[in-house]
Amino acid sequence: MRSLARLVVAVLLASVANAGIVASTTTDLRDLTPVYVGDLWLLPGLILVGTLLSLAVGDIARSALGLVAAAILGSTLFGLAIAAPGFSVPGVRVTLLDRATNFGLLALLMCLLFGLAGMVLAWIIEAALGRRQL
Amino acid sequence: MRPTGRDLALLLLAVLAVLAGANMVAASSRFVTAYETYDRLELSLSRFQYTSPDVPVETEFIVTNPTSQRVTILAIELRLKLGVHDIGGGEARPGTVLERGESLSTPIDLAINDKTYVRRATAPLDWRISGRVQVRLNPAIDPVWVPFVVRYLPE
Repeated sequence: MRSLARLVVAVLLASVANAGIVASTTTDLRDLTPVYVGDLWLLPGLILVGTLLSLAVGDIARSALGLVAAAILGSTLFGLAIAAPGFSVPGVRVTLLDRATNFGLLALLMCLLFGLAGMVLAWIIEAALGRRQL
Repeated sequence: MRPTGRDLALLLLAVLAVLAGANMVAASSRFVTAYETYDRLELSLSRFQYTSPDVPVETEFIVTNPTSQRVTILAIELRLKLGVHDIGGGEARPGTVLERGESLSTPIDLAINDKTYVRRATAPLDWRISGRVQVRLNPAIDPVWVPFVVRYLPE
């Protein structure tokens, strides 16, 4: 039960981190962020999230499930951040929902692919520390 | 109880989530503010004076900022139409900063390029004006063109 709670917490944190990293490096929101994060940090950031998620959860199967959940939830949060003005300004609703859908799907792919790379990196780290056999 | 490596990874993930999440929430909030400001700008045409096809149409365009944000009006572009036929236009580039509640009134002469079409048109002339206003809200973000609805001006 405790490991399940840890998994849920890790997935929620990874989702927010994924969404925040993508939002901080995308053209729509990048220039409006309080702390500027360069485009170059997008992929290392997503890999880092995957690595930390996998290290925090431990179990491979749970990590993989958590990664998929974090990618879906994170890209949804990111899409909502882009579409947000559309909920209060009817004139841009369709445009921004369309944009949020496109960029959200792109974010989903990136979070999955680079998060998986991060998982592999976590396995290598654990193998190097002698906790896991590759 | 001593923290393990897994606890440390979870802690680092939490720090990353807080930093990145705060960045996203602040940016999204500013994004919403920007679009609400663009949407609330009041645009109106206060004067329309047509004399003859050989003389530019004299107009006066007013932009009012009812929001609490400071906006810069970079450009105003107007197109003059007779029915659905585009016959000319004009523009102004004021570069004026509007604080809360301030207005900008700009005279713009609209050149008539297709004079023959205007001469052949039968009265009453079906004047229509469309255009767009370029607004900058924040130096960090690109200026945005705000289009406005075509206005029907029966003579």
